[in-house]
Amino acid sequence: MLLQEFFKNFFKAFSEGFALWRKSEDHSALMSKLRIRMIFSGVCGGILFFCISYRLTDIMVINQLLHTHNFIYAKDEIIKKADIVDRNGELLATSLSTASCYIDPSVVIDPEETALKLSKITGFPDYNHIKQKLKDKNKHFVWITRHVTPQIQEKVFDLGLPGVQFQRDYKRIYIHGNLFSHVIGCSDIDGNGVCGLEKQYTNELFVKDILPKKLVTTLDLRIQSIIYEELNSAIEKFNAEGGNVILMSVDGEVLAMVSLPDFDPNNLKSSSSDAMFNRNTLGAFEQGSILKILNTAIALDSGSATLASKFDASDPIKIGRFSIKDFKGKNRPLTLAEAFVFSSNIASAKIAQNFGSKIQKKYMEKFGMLGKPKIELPELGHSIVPINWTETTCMTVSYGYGLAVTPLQLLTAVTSVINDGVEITPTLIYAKSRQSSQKLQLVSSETSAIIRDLMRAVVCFGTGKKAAVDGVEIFGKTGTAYKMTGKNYGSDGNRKRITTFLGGFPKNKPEYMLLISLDNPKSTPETFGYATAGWNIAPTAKNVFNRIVPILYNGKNNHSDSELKVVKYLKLDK
Amino acid sequence: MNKGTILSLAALLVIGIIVSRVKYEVIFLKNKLKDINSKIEKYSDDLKVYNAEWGYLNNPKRLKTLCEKYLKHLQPTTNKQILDYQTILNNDLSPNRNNAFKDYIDEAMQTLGGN
Repeated sequence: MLLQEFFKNFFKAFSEGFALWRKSEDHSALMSKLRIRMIFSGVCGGILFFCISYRLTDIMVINQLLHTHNFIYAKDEIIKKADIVDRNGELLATSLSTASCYIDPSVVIDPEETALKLSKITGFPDYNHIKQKLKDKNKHFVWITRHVTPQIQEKVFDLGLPGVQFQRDYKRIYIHGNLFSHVIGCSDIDGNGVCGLEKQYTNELFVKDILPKKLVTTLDLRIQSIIYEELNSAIEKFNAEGGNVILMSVDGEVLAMVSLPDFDPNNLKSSSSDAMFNRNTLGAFEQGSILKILNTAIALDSGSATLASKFDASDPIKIGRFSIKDFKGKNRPLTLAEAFVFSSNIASAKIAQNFGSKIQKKYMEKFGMLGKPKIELPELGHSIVPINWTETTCMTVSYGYGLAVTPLQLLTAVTSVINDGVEITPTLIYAKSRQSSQKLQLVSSETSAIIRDLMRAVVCFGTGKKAAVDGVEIFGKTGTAYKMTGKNYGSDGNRKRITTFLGGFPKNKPEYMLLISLDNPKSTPETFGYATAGWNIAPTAKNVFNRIVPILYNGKNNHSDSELKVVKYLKLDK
Repeated sequence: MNKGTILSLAALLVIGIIVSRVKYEVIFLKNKLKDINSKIEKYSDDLKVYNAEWGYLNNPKRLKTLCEKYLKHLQPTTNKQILDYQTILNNDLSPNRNNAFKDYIDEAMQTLGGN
């Protein structure tokens, strides 16, 4: 438009000047006028010519020189997935840069040749699969294969096939394979979390930053590895169907969480749904005698009993066609301390009868046993709570039947009880537990101290003897629960068990708590035909303690076995 | 053509040159930034590969196998070997030796920033 205007004015001026020149006789005046106009037009034309030439040079030369050719990395916005590390900075999951192959079918000249040549390369789909993908010529993008190695990428480039391209991609790698499978979880081919922390933090892990970011967990690679190894060998030794372990500090930081069977997060296709089941957070089981810890804590805290209170455990309690019996019962009245240390079901039921179902339900709610466990994982199972909390329910719950909870819920509740009665919240995120928040007092610190003493007595004189280790005061409680198979617990010779040990150390100022379970362990000649917790899971716990204590424990040991307050309430058989 | 027109044209030309210079400076710096960012990213990707390899090398199972193979004369620490400062001081040692040991421990604790 500007150019058109310019030429229009130029010709107008020229024709006017020429007309004047023809009319006028004084040509010199006209000539000078025309010269000025010609010079002006020439200057304008020159500037215009300069501008056009400059722009052409700019586009064709300067731009080419300034442009960066590093197309792969030169992106304005980079989205990466953050690494996951343990509490000591050891890498657990990372994303490595790879290349993924795609084809633009609209530019492929010979689909058959392309399919044939690509199918011969390792890691590429077969001929028919590629040919099928190249059928639709209207498409401009189809994936052929993801995450190829640089060597394969070079092979494809060497083929020089039109339309075959590579896109930069990231592959999630789990450095330690199965070791952290249930906690860290896994991702799909696009990096989206499928389970575990990967799923829980799937959005937060994707960061738009060129500098690497990390998600620091509370886990400890060394401890996890030891626990994994010990649990695996226990499963093998006792021919168990599975097992699970949680090691937690008393401030709620989970140092290790193992659930077996497990899966390889690097190869999700070969994983079964059973293997992907996290027993620690998803599996709600009846926990057996471990619940006696909470039952005794309720009795002491509500004031319904003292350590010296006696409960008659001479005869089984009959309720309808069922009866509450003791395994290796003492058949005599027992003090509260004895009922706990010798794990009497009859006495526990009578202790619960004393405070009643309302108080029991109220405490169980406070302990977080009637909902879902609280932790940063998406796989959380709801506890199975009886519909009607009757007196019978109250009695069965006292020794661990009728209420199914996840191992994490149980460990959290017991840790809160022994931690001076102050509520704890388990976490997998490092330093999160140190953020100050209002903590509830679940039981009194006096009750807490007595429970620790009672649990220590179990390890010294009771069913947990085989969990005792030298040099550190372990306290704990064993539990053997029959597994519900269908609608009942099976017949006498055909019963499936879950054996559990829940304990910690050191007794006077607890720092770490461990829950370890075996699913349906079998008896061995070494266990003299027994398959109860004291014979299989307690020695397993001992092996774990022996290996983890030197790593974790800072040597604050006070050998105070003689100071056990509960001893005077125990009548120990020789 | 008056002076005003000539001055305006000259000013236009100067401004044009300046704007053009600024434009190319910005393009140049932008590309430089892109280039630096791409280099950072490339190095960080390389680092990730090295970290992953280091992770594999540090796999506890692998380290255990290596220890069992090459450090046969060493055994893992046991619980009995771990004692606190007070327990060490309360050990049945002769008074002189105990004091010397106490001084040594105190000095070591001070060096480590303990109390």
